[in-house]
Amino acid sequence: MNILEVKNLSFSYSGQTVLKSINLKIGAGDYIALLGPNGSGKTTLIKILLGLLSAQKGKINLFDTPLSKFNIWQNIGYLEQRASTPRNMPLTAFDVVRLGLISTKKGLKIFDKADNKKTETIMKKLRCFNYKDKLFAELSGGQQQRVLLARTLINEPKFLILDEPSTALDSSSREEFFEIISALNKENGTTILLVTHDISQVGKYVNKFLVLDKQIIFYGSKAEFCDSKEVTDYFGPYTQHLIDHLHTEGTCPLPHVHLHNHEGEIV
Amino acid sequence: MSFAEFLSYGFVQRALISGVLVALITAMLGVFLVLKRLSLIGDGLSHVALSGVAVGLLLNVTPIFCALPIVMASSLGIYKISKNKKIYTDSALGIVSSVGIALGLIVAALAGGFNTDLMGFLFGNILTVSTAETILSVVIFLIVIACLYVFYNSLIATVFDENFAKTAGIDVEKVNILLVLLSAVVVVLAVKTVGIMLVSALIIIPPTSALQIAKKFRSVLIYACAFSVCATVGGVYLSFIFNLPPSALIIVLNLIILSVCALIKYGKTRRIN
Repeated sequence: MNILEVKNLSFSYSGQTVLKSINLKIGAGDYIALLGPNGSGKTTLIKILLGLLSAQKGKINLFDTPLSKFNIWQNIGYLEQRASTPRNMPLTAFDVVRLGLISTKKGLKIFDKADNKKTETIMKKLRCFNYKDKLFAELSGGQQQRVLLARTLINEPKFLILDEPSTALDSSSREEFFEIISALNKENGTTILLVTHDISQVGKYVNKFLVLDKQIIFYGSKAEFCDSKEVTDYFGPYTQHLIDHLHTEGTCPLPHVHLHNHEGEIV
Repeated sequence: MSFAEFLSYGFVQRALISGVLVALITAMLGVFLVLKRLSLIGDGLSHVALSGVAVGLLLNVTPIFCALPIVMASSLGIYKISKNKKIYTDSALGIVSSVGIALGLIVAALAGGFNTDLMGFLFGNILTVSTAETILSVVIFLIVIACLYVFYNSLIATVFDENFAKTAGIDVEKVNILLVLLSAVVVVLAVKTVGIMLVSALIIIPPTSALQIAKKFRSVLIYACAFSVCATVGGVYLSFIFNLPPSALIIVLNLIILSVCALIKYGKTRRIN
């Protein structure tokens, strides 16, 4: 079964092409790093995949179901770089995490004791239970992101879509964050699509790379990424040492190295 | 005049029943609108209500019934315009608000100029609420309460994070449309209580007061309702004592409550720091 299938997707905004002829298949258990410079259409692609934006052209299937008919939303976990939540929203961290269960609820969508227990468990697992009664708006950026991750993971989604999720985290929390995500991929077979600029941090975890710059520049396994002429052409020869290390060790020894394309933009 | 004597009048009873129900639903809806930064929708829609009321007076139809469909259609218009993001929401509200007043003035001029009825709708007159309007208040109150109960968690999720709500399978479009339509209905009802010029205060001030001191969503709703009801009952009573307009007193009392809540919050913040 394909987790995601995109056929001939195009999107333009105010006459400008943002995405062009995107074809993509993501299978169960894949862990994909989505790379691309600013303005390359990464977030737009993700929003279209989730139905938050409508593409002018193309077809999307989620879990072999057309997006317009897809309704098993508890299978999807989505975490944004920074959610735009109201500054004075009177919701505690616990309330926010529990809201994640709303996709499993029918009718009046009322939460029960089992939901509270589930919320407690995931918050303890992600080490955010000690500030469960604090207002979400009063938490630090890192704490908020941890709470939102707990909300994303509470349903144990089969497909995680993470849009630069670690930006608000400090370096140790970032490492812990990627360890948690990777464990989900390894132990539960969770499929992950991760938008990132930090290839060095995720290089050791992912098994595929998707490079986007309005169209797909490269999509394939880590080994193919390292041997790909398209990748070398796009990134330029000066990142060859990084790719060599990825090829031989499956990871990158350089801390927080960013890839740059020919125009010097961070990818 | 004692409070018991005050309550013995039939028109006071109608005013209080209608006023309390309007206070409750404006406060509850106001919480969602304030958090969604849509609180000025009350202002825009109440100005549109002026056109509806003027048309009603011109055609000799009960003004509220005439205003209702016009305000509801406008609320959908505001939502659609702001959703397309071609025009900012505050700009859309400003445009609808001014056009509402302009059309109201034109219709009033066609009807032979302003009359006391129209002035009553501009500044409200809770003491002239009829039995039919009281019954309408009860019906609209029940509809609003039922909708808020059914969509409570969906509304919270949508107000908190619309993208999350959509990816949680919530029909955000439906929830947003429900919110603006309920606002339209409540605004029309509240026009009689506090008047076109003061309706938005009833939507904005009690929730803002509650947000100063309450930490839980449910507490915010309860505090907002309590503040709004106290200000309404107090305003109507004081209008009898001091022979002043009840709508103005309701708003002034709401403002006093907001000031007290803001002071409490300031005191708490200082203690923490």
